[in-house]
Amino acid sequence: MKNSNTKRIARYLVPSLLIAVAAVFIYVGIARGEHDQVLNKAIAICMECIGIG
Amino acid sequence: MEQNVKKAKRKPGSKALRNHVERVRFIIQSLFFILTNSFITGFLKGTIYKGNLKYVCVPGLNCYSCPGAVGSCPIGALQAIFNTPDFGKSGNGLYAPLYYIPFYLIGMLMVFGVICGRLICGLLCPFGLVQDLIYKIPLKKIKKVPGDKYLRYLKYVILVVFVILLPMLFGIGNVPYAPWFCKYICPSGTLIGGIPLMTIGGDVSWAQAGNLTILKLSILFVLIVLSIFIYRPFCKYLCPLGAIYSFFNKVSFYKFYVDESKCSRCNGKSSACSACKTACRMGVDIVKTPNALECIRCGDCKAACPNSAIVSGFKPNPNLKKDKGAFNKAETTNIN
Ligand code: SF4
Ligand code: SF4
Repeated sequence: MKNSNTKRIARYLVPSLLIAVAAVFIYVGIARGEHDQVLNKAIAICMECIGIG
Repeated sequence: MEQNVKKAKRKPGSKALRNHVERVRFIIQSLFFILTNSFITGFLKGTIYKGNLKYVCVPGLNCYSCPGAVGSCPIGALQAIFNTPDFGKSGNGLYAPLYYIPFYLIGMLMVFGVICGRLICGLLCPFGLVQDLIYKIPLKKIKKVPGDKYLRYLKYVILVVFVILLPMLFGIGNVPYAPWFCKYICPSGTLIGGIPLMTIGGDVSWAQAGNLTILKLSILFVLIVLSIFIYRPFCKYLCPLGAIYSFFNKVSFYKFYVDESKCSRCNGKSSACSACKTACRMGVDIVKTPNALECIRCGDCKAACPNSAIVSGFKPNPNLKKDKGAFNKAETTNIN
């Protein structure tokens, strides 16, 4: 019982830690203004992406 | 009453159950596609959505220049950051030495990947849906592609070369930096962005088509033809997003488990049973590698198993006594 609980916690541990790291990354990215860069790219038609030219 | 009869027919491993699983998957894929491409004005006027939702990426390969797209494409956005080499050096630059690393996007991809792994490929990607539909065309299928084992690595090469290195290091012609993957490979942009936008004729038209258009249409055409005979050739061999998510299959919350006490191959009752392996169109043997890089979590194997030995979910099943196959000896990934 104890063993299976430990196993279950272990299985959650890695993904949970990764989510925490992801949250930090997103925070740093926003602090650098990367989200603005993403928006700027996405709101203009990207001619190369759609194969015009 | 009728519902109960239908349920009774859907026995584990039966054709009825497999068809049911395929139908449910198709409904989820379609609904998600409609949800993430719901900017109707774009389709009516031949333009694109310019609102704040585009701060966020969608999980699948969905061109942000699709007239309906309400989110950003993660692969396009990654290249946009790599295309800005002085990003973070000036103005808003808080972390100048790390200016090349797209933290925001890596973070977002990690969230998607850690929650779902390649379930995103199986359920939420529009180009995956397109290939699934084309594969339904009833023509003879190619089950074994020559060099398949090696071709599977191509998507990792494309990720490193076309999504990261080339956009980061080189410009093309007079344009200093370019999204190399989007420009020279991505069929999704041509199919759900270029063709509808040029056809509707709002912001762009077919009059602007040139050599690049011919190249991109040719790539799309080849992939469509291949998809009739080979299951998801783009996902298997070319997609850099699938390559990224593949690494998360092992650590994601959503996982597949094999209950060895039920699996007749595992407990030696019948060495001949390979229903799951035969059902998998991605070439994965789920019993050996429940979290293989290539598994798109489509669930075909689960539906094909006559003993209901394959289970999946976001939390480990506490009733699974022998799920070693999923965690210990079989964790070595085997790209078939
Ligand atoms: S591999 Fe790429 S194109 Fe295929 S389903 Fe996954 S994200 Fe979509
Ligand atoms: S192993 Fe199963 S879930 Fe994974 S791709 Fe193959 S059939 Fe789909």
